[in-house]
Amino acid sequence: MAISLSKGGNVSLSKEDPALDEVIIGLGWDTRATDGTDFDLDASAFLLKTDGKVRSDGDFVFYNNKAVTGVEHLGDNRTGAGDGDDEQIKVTLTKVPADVDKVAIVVTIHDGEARKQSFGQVSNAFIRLVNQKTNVEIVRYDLSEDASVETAMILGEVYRNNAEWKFRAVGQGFKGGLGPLATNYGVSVG
Amino acid sequence: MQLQQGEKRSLADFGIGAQCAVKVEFGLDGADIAAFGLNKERKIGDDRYVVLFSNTRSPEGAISLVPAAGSAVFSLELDRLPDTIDRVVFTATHDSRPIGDSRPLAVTLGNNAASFDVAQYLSNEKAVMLVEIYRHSSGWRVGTIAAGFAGGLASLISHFGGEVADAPAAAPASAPTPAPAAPAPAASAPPSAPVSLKKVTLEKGNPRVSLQKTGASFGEIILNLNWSQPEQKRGLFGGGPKNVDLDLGVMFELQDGYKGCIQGLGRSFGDYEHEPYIQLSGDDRTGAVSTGETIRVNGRHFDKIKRIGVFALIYEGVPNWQQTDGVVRMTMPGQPEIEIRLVEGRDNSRLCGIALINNVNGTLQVDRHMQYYRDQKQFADDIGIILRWAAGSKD
Repeated sequence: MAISLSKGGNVSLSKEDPALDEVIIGLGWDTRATDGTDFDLDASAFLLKTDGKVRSDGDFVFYNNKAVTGVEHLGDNRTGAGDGDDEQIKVTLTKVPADVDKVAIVVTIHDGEARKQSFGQVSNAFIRLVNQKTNVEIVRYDLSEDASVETAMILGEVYRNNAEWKFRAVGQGFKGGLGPLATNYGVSVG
Repeated sequence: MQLQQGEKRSLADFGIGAQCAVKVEFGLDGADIAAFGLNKERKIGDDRYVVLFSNTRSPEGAISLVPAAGSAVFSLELDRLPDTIDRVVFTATHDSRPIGDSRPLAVTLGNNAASFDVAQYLSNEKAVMLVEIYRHSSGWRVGTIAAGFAGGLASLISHFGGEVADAPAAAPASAPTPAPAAPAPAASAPPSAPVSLKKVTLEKGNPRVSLQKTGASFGEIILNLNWSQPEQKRGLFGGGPKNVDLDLGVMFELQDGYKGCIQGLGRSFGDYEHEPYIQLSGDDRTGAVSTGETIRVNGRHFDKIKRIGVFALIYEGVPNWQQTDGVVRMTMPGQPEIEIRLVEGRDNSRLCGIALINNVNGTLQVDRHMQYYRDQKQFADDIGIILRWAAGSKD
């Protein structure tokens, strides 16, 4: 049975699953039930140093930059239809470069500002970590009712704690969408 | 403070505790405001927690509604809501028009602690979820929604996992009511068909419709008055106060100068085959007949009719139009159904002049009238059908 975290909670991945290496980070949300423009949500990952910034722009993994050593974006789902994960990001813990302290996983609403869409309107968003080899879910965080008018959401982060890897349920909203969020992490957005 | 769409806040942020008032202000004739108490799956688990004009109070009173002209005020006592009610979603629906046409359309919490201007976010939705108040590990919270369905009430109910009844529920046998004077034909199709794309609603901004004959003549023209039925079956949209009796009547004037009044009072039932070609189909004094009261006009002889004034009357008790939510529907073969709701200007007068039907060179023209009068004579005088009157009483 996977651990279910609430906002701010964390868990040691190394202790829960000592053999863990290839982690599938699944992200999901419900498609819009009401009439109107669909939500198009995008998952991204930022590889961050101890100062909370990227080493270079390449550490921003998203739909236009699908992979960097250790972290791979597995694809986009434009409507959120279908059960299970809507988007997946794969992190191979042993391949994450030593100067990367944590990998932040974020979801943003494409064109959210223009479409007047925010996470407060997205229901049943979640992030879960699955061991790719065993297909066992290790930890899960349901965003449920924590989101509001933000158009970007830092759902969780996989981070080093001495020799072990941990995961924290962040659930931190960010106004302005993907661009400003990337800038915040030290990416030069053109 | 002004809330944005999608915003979620703790009620405590606004200094609101277990007692919370939610006021919905609207400016659209015929808009219905409701509160849906939903379970954890966001579905209707218990009809009694759907609070609206016909069911103004949840069983323990934790959700109650005071409707008024242009607004609906809900009083919530959140700590008295059963655990099975996880959230309360406030909605606005309209049979035919987009809710976004309503100006204003705003929700206010508490004593103006927070407000949400809904209309700006809407397009063509005829059923809209406005805001919700829900349980959260941190306490009760409010979330703004402003989203809904162009499909209207039926889509909304289905979103909440419910079904819409095709017709108002018949009163159960437990009602200690005398047999209606004229039993409604069993299992006949109710005049209130659930959804008709051909419906015309006469409202303030759209008060007139003219109908041409589709064949040699108009067929049977049916005028039906229905109102909130007694609160015995707590169906979603079937509830209502007890002891309200509305009578349907008409003033008429024929081309040959014959004038008169058809109503249950004084048993002036009229005649369908002979002058005045207008007949009242029995009188339901109990509200037990779910189809209400019906007057039939013989459209084959419409050329002999000059005009008809349609009215509703509360002949006994306090004239509380507010509680009746009366609706008059006019149906005839090959024509759109015409609907007029008794929604505005309700006051303590006994008689509501609802509509005027005129024969304009063979065209049937219906005008929404919607004015209130002391009695039949005042209405007749106002529309220029001068009769000689004596006071009457039923039976």
